[in-house]
Amino acid sequence: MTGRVTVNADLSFVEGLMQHGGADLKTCYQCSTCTVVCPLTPDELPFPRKEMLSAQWGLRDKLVKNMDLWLCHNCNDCTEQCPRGAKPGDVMAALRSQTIEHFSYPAVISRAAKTLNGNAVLFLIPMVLIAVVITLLNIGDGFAFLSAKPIVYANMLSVSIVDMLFVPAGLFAAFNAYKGLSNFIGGLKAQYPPTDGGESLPAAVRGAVKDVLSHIEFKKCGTNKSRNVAHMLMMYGFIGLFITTNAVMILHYLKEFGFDVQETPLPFFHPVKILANVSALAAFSGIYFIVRERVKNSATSVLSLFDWMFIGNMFLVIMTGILCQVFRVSDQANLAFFTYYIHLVMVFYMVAYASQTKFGHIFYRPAALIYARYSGRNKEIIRDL
Amino acid sequence: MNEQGKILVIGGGISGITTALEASEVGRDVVLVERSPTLGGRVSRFHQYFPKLCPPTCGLEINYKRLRANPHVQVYTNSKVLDVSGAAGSFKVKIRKDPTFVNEKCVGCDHCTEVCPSERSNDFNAGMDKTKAIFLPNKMAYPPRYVIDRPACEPGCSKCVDACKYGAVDLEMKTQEIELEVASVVVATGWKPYNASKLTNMGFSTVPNVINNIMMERIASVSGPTKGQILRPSDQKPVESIVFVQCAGSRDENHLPYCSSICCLGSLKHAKYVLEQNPEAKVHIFYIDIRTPGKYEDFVRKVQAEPNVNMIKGKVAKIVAGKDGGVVVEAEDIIRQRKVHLDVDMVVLATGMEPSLKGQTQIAGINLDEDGFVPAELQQKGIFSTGVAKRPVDVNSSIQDSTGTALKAIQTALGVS
Repeated sequence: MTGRVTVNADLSFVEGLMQHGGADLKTCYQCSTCTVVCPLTPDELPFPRKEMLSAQWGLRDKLVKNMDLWLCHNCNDCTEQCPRGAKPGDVMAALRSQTIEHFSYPAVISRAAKTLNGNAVLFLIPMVLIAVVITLLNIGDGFAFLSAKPIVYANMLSVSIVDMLFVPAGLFAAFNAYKGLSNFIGGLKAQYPPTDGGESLPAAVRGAVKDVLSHIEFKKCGTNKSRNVAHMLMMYGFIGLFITTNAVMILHYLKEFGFDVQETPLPFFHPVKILANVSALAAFSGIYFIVRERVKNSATSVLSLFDWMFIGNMFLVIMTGILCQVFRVSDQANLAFFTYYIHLVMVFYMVAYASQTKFGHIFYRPAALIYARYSGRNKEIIRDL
Repeated sequence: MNEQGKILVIGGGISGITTALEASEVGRDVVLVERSPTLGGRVSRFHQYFPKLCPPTCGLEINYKRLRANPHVQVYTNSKVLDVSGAAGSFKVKIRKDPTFVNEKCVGCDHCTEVCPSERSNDFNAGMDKTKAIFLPNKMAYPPRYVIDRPACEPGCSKCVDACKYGAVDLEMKTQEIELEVASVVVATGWKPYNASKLTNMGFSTVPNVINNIMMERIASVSGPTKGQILRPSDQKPVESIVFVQCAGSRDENHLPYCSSICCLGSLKHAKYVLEQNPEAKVHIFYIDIRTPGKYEDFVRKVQAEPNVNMIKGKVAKIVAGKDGGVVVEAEDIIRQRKVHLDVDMVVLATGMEPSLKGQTQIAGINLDEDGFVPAELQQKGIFSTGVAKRPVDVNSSIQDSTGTALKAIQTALGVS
């Protein structure tokens, strides 16, 4: 190989990585123990050794378009075995967060999601917005919803008002996710032109969906094996809550338009309510297990603010959601409405900034998993030298 | 004995012998203490050693001859220094001499082993074969005298006593405590191979035919368990393909955080052993960086130029048993960016050097660093260290170091520094 190789080293990218979880990446001396012990890497062009090198060099363009970052499921077998304490697992996580920041639109939100001050602003927006709306709507009758019996959250904010806040937030997030994802996929296509070995797009989608739903990759992990169950509980919990939230919204509008359906709030034994509560419990226990593991492993694996904001937000969404029901049923009006307010703020943060926070992995990871199958990332084993 | 103070040298390997000879040949009185029953240390276990790749006999024999001719050196083998106290010029030293149960009347006739009914694992050959409970530590032992491994004896057995025509076997021999005053002390306690069983994933002691580099030296040596034939341990099959795993323990913060500096040269040398016996053998050396300090660059190039030597950048991180006694190693070939799974006859872990004093009962008065080395700067005035006791180096550097250290010890003994 002759000719010139131009290396575009981006030192600010390296600094960003080191700040956001990859603090020890420079101790890596390229022995590739990580790659050998990784249970998920293909044999050809294996990871994460090459990512460690690119990260040290600050090869931003190459790394943000790297699909292997998303084949990694943070088992941390690499970090466990690393002879230098370079923590490849953490570096890969930091690289994913940098990728989200790189592609996210608008970039200002993703940058804010990585700092304390930025997050304060991101929370203040829904806190002020929702507080103002509640005040304007209820100041007329002297906040009568607080003393009305039984407690009905719609007395404070009607379902239509809630939807007027959250549907635009959702659409905002969906648009941003679309913009970010199309840039990301464009990047993947440029870096990995599809080969003959790839699957058709429908087959790739089917395969990736199956992999995600079955958590087959998580199950291969050694060191962080328990994350398999925790993540599954959380994922299915949130899918359940997504379904029930939308089901309640549909029920509400059906009622509005004169159909004879169950009125909200739903009784305790309504199937949708049961699903909602089961999902909430699943998500809650998932988060509990994840936090427990993270705290246990905190000596060997560093958690960035980006991780904690995500986990914390998920936790508070679920916690306040459960407490809303508890306080409503136990007739604690002030607590109930205050918790509901916090719940709305937390959900707003989760929904509106979905593609810029770590929540964004629900867009980026499936996209990369589908593209890996589509482009023919092969798993052949080479036995001879 | 000399008017001025003596020099105590702890450790009878190449560093300690060198220090003792250099100091005593200019007239100093030297006490040389060795823990095992014979001098020679690690060098005596090599098949060949750098820089000239000669067998250990060529270096050790001349040193032993110098020792025998030298009235100024007193050698205590099978002995241990327990305690060093006092100050430069007048250290008090406590030595414990353990019984070998064979006295100086031994002529090495071997009649005792013929009648001995018990066997013991032969540590000289890294446990790969056995000796009788009464045995000669090795063919070049100094002193050339048999010893008895008492715990290995059958209770009440005294056949060797009856077989010895010279009255050399003394089963009543007792431990002796010796107290000395010396002017300066040189620590030359050397090293031991890192315990490869601690390397999870590397299969040492769980996967057959995974050995360490010391075992490789013994297998290649004519005085070894296979009489120098390079055969794999499980079935004595001649080795046709072999993998060397570099940095097995070294440069790893979970094991030995430092580079042991000799293992790359060791494996290159082992590649040469294998090819000399079987030029068709396939040799694979997996490395992070090939490190050959000093003037050994030519040696790397020479081995690298061998058509059957395959050097692969990438550390082996997984070793499992293959079929029919084979061993499968896994690594990333970093240059080609692909994982390799290689099935070979035998795997040699190039284990690093761990200081002998690490994990041992400490000698009072000798200070170790966190890795177990005896750095000069941590010692009080009049106590010195040399060779691998001080830092990981090869034989050549140890000898140079020991010559210089001898001078320092002499200066303290003469009170000129």
